Amino acid sequence: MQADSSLRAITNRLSVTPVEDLPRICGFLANQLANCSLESQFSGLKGSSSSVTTHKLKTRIGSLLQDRSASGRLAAAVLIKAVVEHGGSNAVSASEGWARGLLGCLNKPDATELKKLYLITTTRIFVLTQNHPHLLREVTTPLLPHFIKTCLVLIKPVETQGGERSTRVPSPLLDTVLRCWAQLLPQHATVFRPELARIKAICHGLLGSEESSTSSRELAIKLLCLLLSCASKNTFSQEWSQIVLKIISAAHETVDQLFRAVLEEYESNDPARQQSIGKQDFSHEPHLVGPDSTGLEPWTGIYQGSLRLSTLLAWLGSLLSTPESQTVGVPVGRIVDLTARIAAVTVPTSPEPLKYHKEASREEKEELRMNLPLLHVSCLRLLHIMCTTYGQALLSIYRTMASQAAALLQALPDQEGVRQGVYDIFGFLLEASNPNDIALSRDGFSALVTECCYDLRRAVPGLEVRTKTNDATEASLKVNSALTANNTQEKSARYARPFLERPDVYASAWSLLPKLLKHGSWPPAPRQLRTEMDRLSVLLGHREAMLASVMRPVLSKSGKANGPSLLPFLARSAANDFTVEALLRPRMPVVQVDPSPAPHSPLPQVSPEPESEEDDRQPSDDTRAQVVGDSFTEQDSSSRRAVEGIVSGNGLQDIVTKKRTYIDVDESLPEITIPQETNEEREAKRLRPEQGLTYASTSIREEWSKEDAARDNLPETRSASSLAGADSRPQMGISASDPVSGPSGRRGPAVEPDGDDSDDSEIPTIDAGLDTDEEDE
Amino acid sequence: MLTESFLAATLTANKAPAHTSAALKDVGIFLHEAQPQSTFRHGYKKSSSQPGCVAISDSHIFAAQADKAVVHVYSRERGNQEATVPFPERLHSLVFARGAAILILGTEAGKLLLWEVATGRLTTSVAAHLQPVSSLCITPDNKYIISASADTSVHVWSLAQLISFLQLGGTYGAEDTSKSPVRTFAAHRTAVTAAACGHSEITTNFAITSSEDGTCYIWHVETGQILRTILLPIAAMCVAVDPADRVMYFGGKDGQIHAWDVFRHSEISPVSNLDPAAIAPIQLSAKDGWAAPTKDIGAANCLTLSYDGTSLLSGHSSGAVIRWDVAKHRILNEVANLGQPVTNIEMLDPTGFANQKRPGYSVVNIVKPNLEFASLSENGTCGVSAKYNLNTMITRPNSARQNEHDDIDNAITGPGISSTLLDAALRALGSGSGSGRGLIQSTTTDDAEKVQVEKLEEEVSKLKQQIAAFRRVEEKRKDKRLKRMMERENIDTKMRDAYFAAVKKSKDGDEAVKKWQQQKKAIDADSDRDYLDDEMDLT
Repeated sequence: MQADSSLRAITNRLSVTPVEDLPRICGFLANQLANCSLESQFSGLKGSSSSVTTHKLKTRIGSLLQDRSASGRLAAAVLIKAVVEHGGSNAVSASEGWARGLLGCLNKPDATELKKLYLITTTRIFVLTQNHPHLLREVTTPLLPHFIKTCLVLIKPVETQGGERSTRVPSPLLDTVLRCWAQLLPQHATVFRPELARIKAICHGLLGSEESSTSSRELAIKLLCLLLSCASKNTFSQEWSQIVLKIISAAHETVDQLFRAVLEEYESNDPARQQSIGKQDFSHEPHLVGPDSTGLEPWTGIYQGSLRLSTLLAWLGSLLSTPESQTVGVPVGRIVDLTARIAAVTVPTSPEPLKYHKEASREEKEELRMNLPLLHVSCLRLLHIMCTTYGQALLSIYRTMASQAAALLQALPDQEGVRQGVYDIFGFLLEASNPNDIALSRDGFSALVTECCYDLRRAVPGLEVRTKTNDATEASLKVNSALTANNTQEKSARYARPFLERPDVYASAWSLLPKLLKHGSWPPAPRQLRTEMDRLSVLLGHREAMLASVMRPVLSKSGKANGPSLLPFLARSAANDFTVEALLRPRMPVVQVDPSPAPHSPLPQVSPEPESEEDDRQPSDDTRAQVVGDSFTEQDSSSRRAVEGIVSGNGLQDIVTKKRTYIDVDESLPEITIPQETNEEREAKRLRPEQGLTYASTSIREEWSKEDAARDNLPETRSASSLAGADSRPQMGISASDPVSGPSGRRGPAVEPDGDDSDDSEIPTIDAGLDTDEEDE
Repeated sequence: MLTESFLAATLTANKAPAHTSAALKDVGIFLHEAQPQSTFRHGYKKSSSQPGCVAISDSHIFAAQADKAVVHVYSRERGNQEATVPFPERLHSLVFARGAAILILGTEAGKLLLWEVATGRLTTSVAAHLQPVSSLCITPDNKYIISASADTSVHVWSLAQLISFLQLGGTYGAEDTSKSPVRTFAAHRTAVTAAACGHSEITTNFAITSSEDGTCYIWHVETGQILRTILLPIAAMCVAVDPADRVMYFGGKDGQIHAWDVFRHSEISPVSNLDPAAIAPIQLSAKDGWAAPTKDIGAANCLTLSYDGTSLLSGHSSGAVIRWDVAKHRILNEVANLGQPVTNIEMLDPTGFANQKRPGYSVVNIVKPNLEFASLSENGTCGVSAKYNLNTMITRPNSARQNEHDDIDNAITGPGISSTLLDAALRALGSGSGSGRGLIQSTTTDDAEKVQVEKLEEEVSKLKQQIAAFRRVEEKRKDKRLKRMMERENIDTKMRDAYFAAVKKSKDGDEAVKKWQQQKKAIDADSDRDYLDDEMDLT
């Protein structure tokens, strides 16, 4: 009844409100209609009262549609959309008259914004009929041809009188109409077929002319790809291949002209294309005589040519990502050939400078250089589309794509678009493969990491963007000098730039970073680059990247971790994160406890689900046990560790962290320098968390900067102790994969000088201390 | 509704029973629904394959035929045999790299053939094995192929390295290593019968291989380091790994199933785990095995696990397909008896998930191997042959390009109209005063109007200047006149005063006035001239 009464209220409001005021409230009324359970009202099986109301509503909308004023028609269009959407198939079948009325409205001299709404509502009605054959028969089939014809009239270019001369500007409704068509085409290809030639001509016109807007051009490309489905079943694949080959050859024709000043070293894989092009006439601008293979208009000048080429590449990319109804043969070889040709021509900063024709004028060469990045970005976009569409099916050409992208990055590192395209491609390739498989050279990988870090670093407030010489080692050395400036900078950063403008390339670099870290353990990656990536992921609070760094430590040849772990940072920044929880306190290896425990070990028997019990246990027991029965517990935990070695395959390598001799800051911690003779063999392979932390934090600490040395010591020792509290529960299988694990044994009296950890009962107070530390950051 | 099915392939060893229904006649590969209803669904005919010789893709079934150098390709969608593909050698094992759409075939001569079913390119590895490749498996991310052979060796190959067009050039004239295995695991002492691998990502993944003498090794794929050794009472014919890598199942020659629970059966040994070789081998005894129902059930040739990992299906030489309860370690029921030795069994991914992950493309028809890609001579700079075509069908729009939708697309595909569109229309209504054509034209004829308006404005300002000039002159004149009138009044009064003074003195008043009258006349004349001057000024 609730719905009933609100529907009555809406209908009443519609008839009472003067037509001029309706547009203002029609949006609200349409929203209300959604809540009226229109579907049951329109089912026609209900009591008379509701059917009277719906009838009233329908007639009111009908009369509004016929209204003399534009405001009535606008209100009608908005309300029709709401009714049709929420009224179920009955409402749609009743909407035939409305659709007709809307088509009539399109011919009236209403404002373009209103016509957009009419177009949208009409298209929406057609879309809603799509999965109901009887509705298709009743509504769409009779009206759609009419709709298409009306649209064709609407998008005729408008003649304008500008002073004395009249110019033709594209209709303001062009984009809307193209969008509507693009939505309708896949389902109603047969209805569009009679107009195929005209629509094609319009799209070709848009692609060919320099004046059309970018959005219209993109829509035209989309529409052209969809139009292929108008072809009959038998000829579809053939037509598809033909158009792809035509686009490729048109692109080659364009490149022939564009690059005429360059002596290309490129060699085609197609024997038919290998014969050299005839002698070029350098007396006039590069141009194309007559329409190209795809039937697009000829062009003149380098700018128009490169625009055409990038349009063709975008068209190709769109064809490769549009769903099809049949198998098609994607000419991967030819496409890669084309991109290789374009990517081979780069600005002369590349190691092998280009060779130019003697006759080519300097202006032409310079203009070509200016337009090159546009072409390269288009190429990268095409390659990325191929990757994302076909995934591993292109495994055989991954290396080819990677080498093209890496070469472009090395040649044009200053172009933001190129960088972004390269990041996107490598983001995909690294995920689907690894640097080893895509045969990325050490230089290429380094360049990729450096550029990625460079783009990310710009977003860190207070970190001045160093000029292109952002060598990581240099950066870390420079930090000291940056220290003094840091305070002021930080202040200004906090107030002046709360919201940095993030370019698109930042997003790409952001998503690339974890993937780089994941494969950063690949040996040829230089150490300092890895440090830089770690540093940035901490500074940016990039959780995913930190996780990747923790999960994939750099391993030396002997299978030992080669640097500090970011685990403490990860735990600090994302303590509540489920992934971090799973990493620190894994539930999975349900470890069976030895029925006869070691003499001094206070371990209780653990049920198959240990975590519930563990969480309640006082940590003090464990820690005291560590202090007392050092050697025993240690043996115990090491043997337990054996259990999960199997799960994590090379867990054995992962746990053992190389004993580092890196002593720079915290000489106050004695165990760094005191050699441990007794258990050395075992312990040498285990990490000391304090040490790792110290090292990891050195690079970061300068960012924190303002604390004195004594203050700096606190967070490290404390976090270490808190970690130890968690880790010393032996039945947690953490030790297998976690470089910071083994501290329980090491933390003997050696750590005590700090005084903080001497008494286990103090552990709760450490938490309080942690809070203050965080504030300090 | 979720439906889970399995495919079982047989070897035609026995004579076909005389009376079978038409649907079951000649059937070599059985599509059998496991859940919710256990029933035979479809038969793929005329296939007879050895263990490990059937591979399944999303769209096709590949079955290498026993004693023939031929692979039968069946289309799963159409349910019929699509092609018969001959190969130069007999094939002893197959595996399909999903996603990459590559069929990997292990040959009798001990080398691998890699057939890209969507392009038809065929790549051959070196013959690294001295005997036929007995078992093949591929890691979940398609990085490594693990091939086992009767010659006791197990090789690890990099898939990307084997099939890449672009090969790293041997700089110092070394022989081409791209077609060789990247690693060899050589711990086995007898013929290796089965190989499987875990489900984790590649750096932590393990492989498990078992040999004729009942020894199983679990080893790290990336390094080849042995992690565990398991001694089975009888040689395992097949190995299956729990989806979460918790348990390994071994199908024995006697039809028994052995299971090794990674976490349950590991005893805590006092030995340091840093030397895994020193970990004592784990001995599984015969009585721990899951008892087969009858003695004559025959060897368990193949194993597969259900999607949820709770039931294990085994195919036996007697033709029985048996379902085992993983938790209770015993037989659950005999699902089917196929009459012929069951050599391959594979559980298919369940269908009916709401958001099933699918690749963005599908290979509808396979492309038979084509040898023309073998030559590298005419591949140009990019190194890829121009005839290298990928024959696929794109099934869903590219997810990377979905963010191109704007308000209009959203309004067409979804409910409601965005407020920006509505507001724009309202604005147009307000400014266009109803007739929108006028609005468009008004924008287009603006220029002409502007020119006119400018002209008019200029004129108006000129006129205003003129008016101001007039006013200035007029005021000046008014002032002068006023002054003159004042002067005249002064003279008049003085004149009157003089007159009365003269009359008082009884002089002739007219005489006294005369002087003043002359002054007045002078002023009047002056004013007339002035008036004329003003008129002159105006012109």
